[in-house]
Formats: sequence, structure tokens, C-alpha cells
Amino acid sequence: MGAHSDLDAVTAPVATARGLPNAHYVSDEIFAEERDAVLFKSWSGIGFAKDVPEPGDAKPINFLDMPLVMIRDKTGALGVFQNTCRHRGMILIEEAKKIEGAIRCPYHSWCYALNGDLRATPHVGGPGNNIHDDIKRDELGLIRIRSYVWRDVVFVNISGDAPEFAEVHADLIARWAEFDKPLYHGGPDSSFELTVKSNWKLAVENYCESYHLPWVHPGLNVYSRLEDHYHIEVPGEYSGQGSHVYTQIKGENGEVFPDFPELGSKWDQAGEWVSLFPNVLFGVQRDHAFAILLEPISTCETVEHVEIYYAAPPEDTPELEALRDKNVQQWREIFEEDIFVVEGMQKGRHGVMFDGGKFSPAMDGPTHLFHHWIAAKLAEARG
Amino acid sequence: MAQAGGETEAECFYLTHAYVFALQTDAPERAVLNARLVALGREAPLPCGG
Repeated sequence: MGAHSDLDAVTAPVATARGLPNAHYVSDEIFAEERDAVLFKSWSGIGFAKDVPEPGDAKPINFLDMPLVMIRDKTGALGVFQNTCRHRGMILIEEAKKIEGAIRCPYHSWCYALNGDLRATPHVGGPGNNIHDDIKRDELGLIRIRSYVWRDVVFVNISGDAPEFAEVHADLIARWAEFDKPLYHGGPDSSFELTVKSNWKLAVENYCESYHLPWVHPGLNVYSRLEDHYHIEVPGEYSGQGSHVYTQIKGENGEVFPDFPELGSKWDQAGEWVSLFPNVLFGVQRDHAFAILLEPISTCETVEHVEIYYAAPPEDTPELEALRDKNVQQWREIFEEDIFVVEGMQKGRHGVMFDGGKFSPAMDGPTHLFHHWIAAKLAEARG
Repeated sequence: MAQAGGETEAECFYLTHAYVFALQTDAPERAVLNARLVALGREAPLPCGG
């Protein structure tokens, strides 16, 4: 069976479709193909704006072996550049730091402004001569990568030719317009990472569905039952689940987190959790939100970067510190419960007789939507 | 030290090093150092606010 017919089976309607073939989870060759055709061609999440909060802050990011750096410039704008000196290709910034004035390449001290402009080329014309007719500084600035910050996640389009982020994701931006409010990170303890021995797509697929709730998240299922969940499916953009019965976490004395301001009554008891294709998972509730950035490390390893945000700064709500700790522990427990099924699917994909799997039309629509999107992206790239 | 170096080449060499580190650290001396190098034909002027 050829690769072409395998993808046709994926893009069939959910009732008759099969899932992506095993190779999409175990083949280094297809991992590399998906890097280019999916992750580099789309708007992919690579980091969080809160990690470069002040002008001068710089943080290097390795995105699928592409060396990038996030920089907050003097105006406060966040830019993403290739972390490569235009001279001889040296890596410029090895670890997160504050740039006081200019970025100096450690090799030959070419210096770049925070906006990427090339400012100095010492001795380029010979010792003591910093100019040369063939070195045109305005042509040798840092390579800027298209970027967009949404809900504190830094997205990039490496290929440079994707439609604008706001155009691609107009639907979710509109759906969650009420949540377009300042997000305050919960502090150092509201960040955590989980490493899963699985292909990044399995973490997306698992997040898309509520089907596994009763079996994998028995504690969550007590107050957020399977029957209270609904599918969210927007072809080509995102899919996931919502709940009609969101229950706020309460502290020992009944305290709750403050709500995001001016939310409609729907959100009194609703929560929504979506996978924004390709690699960022979001959750919104009346009183907190989170983002999970899936960092593909290899074909079979992914790091999940989890960040939790609130409607008020933690420094203004010290009395809620214990509740924030409880909240992060609760989410951590839920996401850790998912590890064995995500890693289990990865192991199962090595079963050569597995045909990609069968979708429940009633329960696996959001998951199939993601498979369909991946297959369509690959088919487009293969021509 | 750059001035004590004597010859223009040596002066510019050391001025360059001082200039690079002034750029890197956002030291106020960067403008003066840049101007001296520009005057000697060894550097491009800093842009406004640079």
C-alpha cells in the first residue's frame, strides 16, 4: 500500500477513515518530513512571552534543531530571530540573558542591536578597520522569523509564507474573544514540564478527546463527567472539548480565584480545552487559563511545557498562593495521568500489523480532525 | 592606552575593542568612541539613538 493511499484513508470521513499510519509515529524520515511540511509551514508554538519580560531579555530556543532566539527590544516588542551570526554562522546566544546594549558574537565580535540590525563588524576591513565596501551592514542583520504572540505563547512561521496568524486562527480568536484579557502568570511554581516518550502528535490527539476521561482521569470525572463534555471541531484550525459543568477549585476557606473580567454567563459553568494545530494546547476557564507547548525532541520524545495564568497578578493576591499551588498540583496530576496512554500508543505503533486505527464517529471526531489536518498538510507538500 | 599606542593602526585596534565592549554594555562612551573611529575613517556612524 503506497503512502498516497494511506493518506487518502486518513482524509476519508470519520466513519470510514483510518488513522495516520505507524510510520508517522516511528519513522525518523517522516518526522523530518512533518517538521518541514507541518511544523515549519504552519504557525507553531516555540516559547512564552513571559520568559522575555523586559527590554534586553533574550532567550535561545532550539526548535527542531533550528536555532532561534526570542528578544525583547528597546520598544518592548518581542522578535524572534535565527540565533546565527550572519558572518560565519556562529551561535550568538547560548543561554537566556539580559542584553545590556548589543548582542556580541563571541567569535569575531560582530554586534547586533536588539532589533537585529548589524551594528559593528570589528576588524572586518583589516586590523583596526571596521568597515569594508563589500560588507553592507543593512543586508546583514539577523534573520527575522515571522512571529506572533497569542495568549502569551510565541508562535513562529519558519517558512515565512503562511497566511497571517490572525487570519488562520480567526475562528478561535473570535470564539475566545471574551478571554482576550491580561493574563498574569502564576509565578515560578505555575510552570512545569513533563517529558513523554512519544511522538508529539499523540499528545495532541489525547488532548483532543474527552472519551478517555472515565478510565484515565477518574478523579476529574467525578466533577467533570464524560456526559457533560461536548466536541469542538473546526476543520483546518483546532479541535478539542468543552464542558458544561466547570467547577471552580476552592481553598480551605472556600476562597476562589477572581474571574477574568466581563465574561458572559456561559463561562460560569463552562470550560474549553482545544488543540491549536499543530502543537499548542490551550485551556480556558472563568478563573484561570493555561497553555501547553509541545516541543518535539525526536520522533519518539516530546517535552510538554505547561504554564498557568490568572486574572490577577500573584503579587496582588498573596492570600491565594496555597490555592495556586493546589491548582497546579491538580493539573499536574491530570496531565501525568495521561502519560501512560500517550506512551502506550507510541509503543503500540511499533506493531507492524496496526493499520492506523479506527475512529468512533461519535467520540473521535476531534481526534480525526487533527489526523485529517496532518494528512492534508503532507499531501499538499508532496504535491 | 589607545592613544599611548602611537601608530594609527594600533590606536584603531584598541579603540575598536573599547568600542565593541561599550556597544555590548550600552556604555555612554560608545558615541565618543564611534566618533573617533569614524573620524579616522575606520567605522560607520552610529544611527540616531544607537
